[in-house]
Amino acid sequence: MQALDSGMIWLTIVAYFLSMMVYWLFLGVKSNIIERIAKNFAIIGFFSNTVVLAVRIEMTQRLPLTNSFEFILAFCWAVTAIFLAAEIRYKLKNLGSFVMPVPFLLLLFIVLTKGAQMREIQAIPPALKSMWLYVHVASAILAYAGFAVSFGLAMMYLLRVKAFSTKFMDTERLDVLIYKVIAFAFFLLTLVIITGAVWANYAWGSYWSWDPKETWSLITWIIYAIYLHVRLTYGWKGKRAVWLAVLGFIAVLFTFLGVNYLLPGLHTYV
Amino acid sequence: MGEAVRTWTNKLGNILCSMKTGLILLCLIAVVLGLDTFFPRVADVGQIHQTYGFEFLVGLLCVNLLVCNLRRFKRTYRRVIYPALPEQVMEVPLTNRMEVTGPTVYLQSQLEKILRREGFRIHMTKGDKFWSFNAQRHRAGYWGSYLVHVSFFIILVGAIAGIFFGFSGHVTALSGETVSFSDMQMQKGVRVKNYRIRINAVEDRLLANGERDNWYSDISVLQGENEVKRGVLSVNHPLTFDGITYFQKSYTDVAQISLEMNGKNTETMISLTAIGDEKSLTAALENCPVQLIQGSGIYVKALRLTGQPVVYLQLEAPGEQTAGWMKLHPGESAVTASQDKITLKKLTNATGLGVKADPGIPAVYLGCAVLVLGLGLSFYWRPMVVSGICMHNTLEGTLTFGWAETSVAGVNADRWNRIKAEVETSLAALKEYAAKGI
Repeated sequence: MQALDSGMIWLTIVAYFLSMMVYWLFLGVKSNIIERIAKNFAIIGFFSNTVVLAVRIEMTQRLPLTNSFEFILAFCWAVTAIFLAAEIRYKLKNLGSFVMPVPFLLLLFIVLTKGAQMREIQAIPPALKSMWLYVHVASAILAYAGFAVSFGLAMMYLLRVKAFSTKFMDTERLDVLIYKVIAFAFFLLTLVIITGAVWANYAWGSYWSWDPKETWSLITWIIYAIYLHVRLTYGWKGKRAVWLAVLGFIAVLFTFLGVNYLLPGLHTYV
Repeated sequence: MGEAVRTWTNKLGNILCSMKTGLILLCLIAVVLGLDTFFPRVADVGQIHQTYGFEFLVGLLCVNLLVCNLRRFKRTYRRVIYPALPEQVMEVPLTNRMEVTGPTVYLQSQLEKILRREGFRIHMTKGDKFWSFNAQRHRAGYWGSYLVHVSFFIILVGAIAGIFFGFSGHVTALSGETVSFSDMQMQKGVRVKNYRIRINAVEDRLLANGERDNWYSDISVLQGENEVKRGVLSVNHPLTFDGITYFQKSYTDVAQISLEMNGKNTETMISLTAIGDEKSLTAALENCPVQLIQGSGIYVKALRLTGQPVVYLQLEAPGEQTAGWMKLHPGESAVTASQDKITLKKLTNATGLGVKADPGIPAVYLGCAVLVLGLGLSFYWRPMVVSGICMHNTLEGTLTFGWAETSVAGVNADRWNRIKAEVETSLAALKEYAAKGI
């Protein structure tokens, strides 16, 4: 099982890498075959990522959501799932060029920095032994994955304006799609914060502790709340709104990774 | 002078209550919170979020939200209950508009049928030479944004209630010990009740594979000498009685040691840091906190082998070189480098309990539920309005109707196209019937 787990992790990384490279090739060479190859690599990566998660569920008899390695595995799975769903539903052939680097780089980063020890299946601390963990972390994974896809769409929008004016979907549709994905992820981020607060109150008797992770989640929430306000109330569309979406994703990355490495707190184990 | 002051206060009021101000305040709060995480503590002030400046910003945002909400309520209520009906063709939405001509009664009945089938609620008015309508679908969606903003007040009310009428504190007690609420280290608020807590047993329970299951405390809540509640609590499984909740916060292995020094015997309790095995002893001793043995001037580092009655001690006397470590079982003694005798009398454990009463929690949870409901309505229950007017002189009339597109372009566009197509189809069917002379 352990060997299958390790093998599948590397297969996932290789598949995501090849998918990213072929999608980049597709930016320069407009060929449906190349696009199909890139998508198939993404599907292979998604499949092996699913196997890794399933193996860990089988080995631990719990959902693999209890440390940063497992969180990133599940996050990359969710990013690829949302990306594939968006590509199939909206025929966004170039989206992979901007989204696939996210799961590839994150997986590579976590494997190289955390090493074999982190990949070993570990006992979970008493604080995490709660059903709230699954609601809280699963909604966080989906929310962050949604923001990652919105970032990919935002990059498509900006590059369409700059360079690839004919290759991407028209800007108005992209703009609406970015809004829809952000609205979906924002709703989930709200659930993340609320479920975290309810759980913290249940476990520690304090629903808000000004922990760096909590604070940065709130900052991320505020940035996307500003995006939604200016878009819905002031009719901000186009580049200005898209740059706000990019800023939001930078905050997501900091909340997700930066806080873990720079600002230790109650969420140190993730 | 009075007029000038009134103008000035009106301007200030408008600035305070505008959405731009709200957005600027949100930006400022985000920046301040970001800084707060990097510069955690300012001497004598605490963290930045505890300063008056930050509280002032939040207060301003609350005022802004409150006034915006009050203004919005009237507008939303009118829009939902008494929607504006067009009185002239120019009042019909221009961007997505359709114009058809046909028998007035037929047009009206067909339009009503189509709109009702699509789930619209129709308001209609009739004049001498016209009838007009306003049809709304998902009108509850208008309340979405309003509910989101109201939810912050509900949460705020809950938080304030918690601050003024609740309390929280922390107490550490040995197994078998009884402590009073007055022994508690208060973190917030004032105690309003004064129970005592007896710690019947404390356990660091391990699973068969050596992993930690949880920390458990069997406690009794006492009123005077009477036990009014007894229960076992663990991390994630608190115990609640009479509005007060007891939380398992920490667990410590404790050793009772005695030190015979210059003919004088000193007994003390010291906390033990757990280690998995003896191999990691040297590294663990380096990181282990030092504790003072009361009345002796000697410091000690103390470790315990997880799950086993084995304790490692390392003594440090000021100005002397740190001695090597000694391994003791309960009841065993050892002689130190300065010929003092140290005895491990017994091993016990202590529990760290959080004690809290917060009457604001139901309001906070209600606010969270309202927030989720509001967001759900805002994003996934987008209202759609179709309005129009039919001008007629005889039995024939011209119906002009349109869809007021929301700021989220594209949402509801499919439905609008379907309505247009159905109106065209029904008119074509009418013409076909007329042509056949039916």
